[in-house]
Amino acid sequence: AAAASPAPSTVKEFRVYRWSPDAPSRRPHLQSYHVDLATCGPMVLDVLQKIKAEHDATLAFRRSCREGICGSCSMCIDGVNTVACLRPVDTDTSSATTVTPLPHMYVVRDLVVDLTSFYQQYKSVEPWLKRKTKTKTETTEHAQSPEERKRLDGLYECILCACCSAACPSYWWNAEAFLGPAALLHAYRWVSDSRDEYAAERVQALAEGWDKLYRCRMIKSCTATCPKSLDPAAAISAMKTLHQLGKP
Amino acid sequence: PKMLPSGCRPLHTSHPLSAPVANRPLSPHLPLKKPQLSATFSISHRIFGAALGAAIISIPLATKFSLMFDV
Repeated sequence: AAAASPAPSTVKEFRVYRWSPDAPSRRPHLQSYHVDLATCGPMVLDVLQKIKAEHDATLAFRRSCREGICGSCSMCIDGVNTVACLRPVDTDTSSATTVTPLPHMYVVRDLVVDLTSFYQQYKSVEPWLKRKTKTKTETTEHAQSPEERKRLDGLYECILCACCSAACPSYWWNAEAFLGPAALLHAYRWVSDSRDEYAAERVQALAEGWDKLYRCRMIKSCTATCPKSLDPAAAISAMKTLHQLGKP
Repeated sequence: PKMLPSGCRPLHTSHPLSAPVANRPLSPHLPLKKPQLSATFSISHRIFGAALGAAIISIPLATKFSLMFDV
């Protein structure tokens, strides 16, 4: 006799994007893995590590801290860019979860994408403290009031996981010209820093040539997808305002 | 053997990089995108802007050519 009500299965299907440079003639494809959630950790990263450990050791993905601080395991899970370590597995075993690399990036292998240009853009905003006045207390710290420190909240938390930039259609079509939300958020972090004395020059440099800053069309996919719940769109909008008013 | 991957660099970027690193495929993008209100507003703003621009520019043109074609 067939069982009247079978216990719901805890085995869930995961479709993972696969492409290997060792077999470049093989087109990128989604490979299915069936993982028992009952013997697995709660997050998507746990599932990927279980797949790598028990199903297929050839799966490649970046990971490090497993607690949303390093930004290594950023990928597109069910169409949303997020860090896999902060994303709980959807426990509905009737439907599959799709895991793909960050959208519109060049794939090095499987879930690993080429972030060279992304890091170059971050470097181009000069993300370090720049001072005009050299005081004789140069070796000591630059003091900051609690109010001035508060202005950096919501800006300094960015972990450069590239989820926002990879979610931005404007960045997709103009990846080399437009700096992307992540780099611009970091630029605004230094523009709003009370200790930095190059705010006006920073905004001017970004507005130069129109492409770097004004390619942002307020699509706001960056804000919608940020795994740290930051608001890069507001930072870009604030820098546009500073440039238009000419008083950063 | 040189073969272009599914999404090739010249088609998908504003400025092609001087030296492409390797024959790397482009990861899937548009079909994955979830519907989102702000993104829909952004693209519809552009579509309606283009449509409005076309409509406005067509008024003097229509006036001019309506005499020519006697309508």
